[in-house]
Amino acid sequence: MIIKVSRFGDILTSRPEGREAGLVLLSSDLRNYKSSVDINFTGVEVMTPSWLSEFIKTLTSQGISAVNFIESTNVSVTESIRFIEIEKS
Amino acid sequence: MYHIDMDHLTPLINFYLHGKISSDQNASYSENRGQSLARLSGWKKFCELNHLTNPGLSQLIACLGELTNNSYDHNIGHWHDLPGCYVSWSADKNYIRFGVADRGRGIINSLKPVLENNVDENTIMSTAFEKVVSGRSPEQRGNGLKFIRAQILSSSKHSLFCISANKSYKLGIPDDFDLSQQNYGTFTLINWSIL
Repeated sequence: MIIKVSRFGDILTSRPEGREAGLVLLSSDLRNYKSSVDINFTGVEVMTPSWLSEFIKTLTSQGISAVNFIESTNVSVTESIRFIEIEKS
Repeated sequence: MYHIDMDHLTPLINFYLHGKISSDQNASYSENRGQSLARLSGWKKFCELNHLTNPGLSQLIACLGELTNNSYDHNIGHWHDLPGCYVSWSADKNYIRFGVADRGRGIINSLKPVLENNVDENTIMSTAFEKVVSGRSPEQRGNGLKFIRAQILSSSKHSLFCISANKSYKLGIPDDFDLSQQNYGTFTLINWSIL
């Protein structure tokens, strides 16, 4: 399933907002869904590793098997992805 | 090399040192996270009006988002007196500058409990910016300052100055100034090259 995160805003920075976005999805689009999701960043202008980390952790802690990232040209997005990969390693 | 322009920083220093909330057209106090988040789009607009474009625009606003969110993430329940953070901004044809100050417990007091005993305070400051460690341990978080450092280092023209509990951390900036006699709070300046 593809999730377009710009539905939560174009400036995505805080941990509470990332967690809230994940919880919203788990109770709607991802209800009873345990397979992998692909994250589409189109439309996101600013992202931080804090928002993305909290968003991913919220999904995977509730049974989503894997989260994949669709390529983005926005540097704050690519840098956020790079830093949460560091966090995981 | 950028030098700190003290004239622009008086309201920020007054908040950091004295808890004084000055009225200034290029500064704002956000008592809670919601106010601070709402202002990010205005700060982004300020950067756009001063001709900052991507990728720098997204990088700088992401850094500002991490800095301001840190004020709330690490200080809830630990405010010295005033909650929240004070942000000031300015620009000229070469640089956009943001300053963020809070009166929370500070980086040193936040990290000391989760590091080994006897780690000196200068090491704690560099650890905060260079290693994955969180004052919110055992929660797995702590990349914000490392992320900011990486964005600053993406150009030799950007610079950063941060002071907390009298210990400073600097990237690409020769100046230092004394904000001593205070063992709480965090004061950070980012100077972002437009060119």
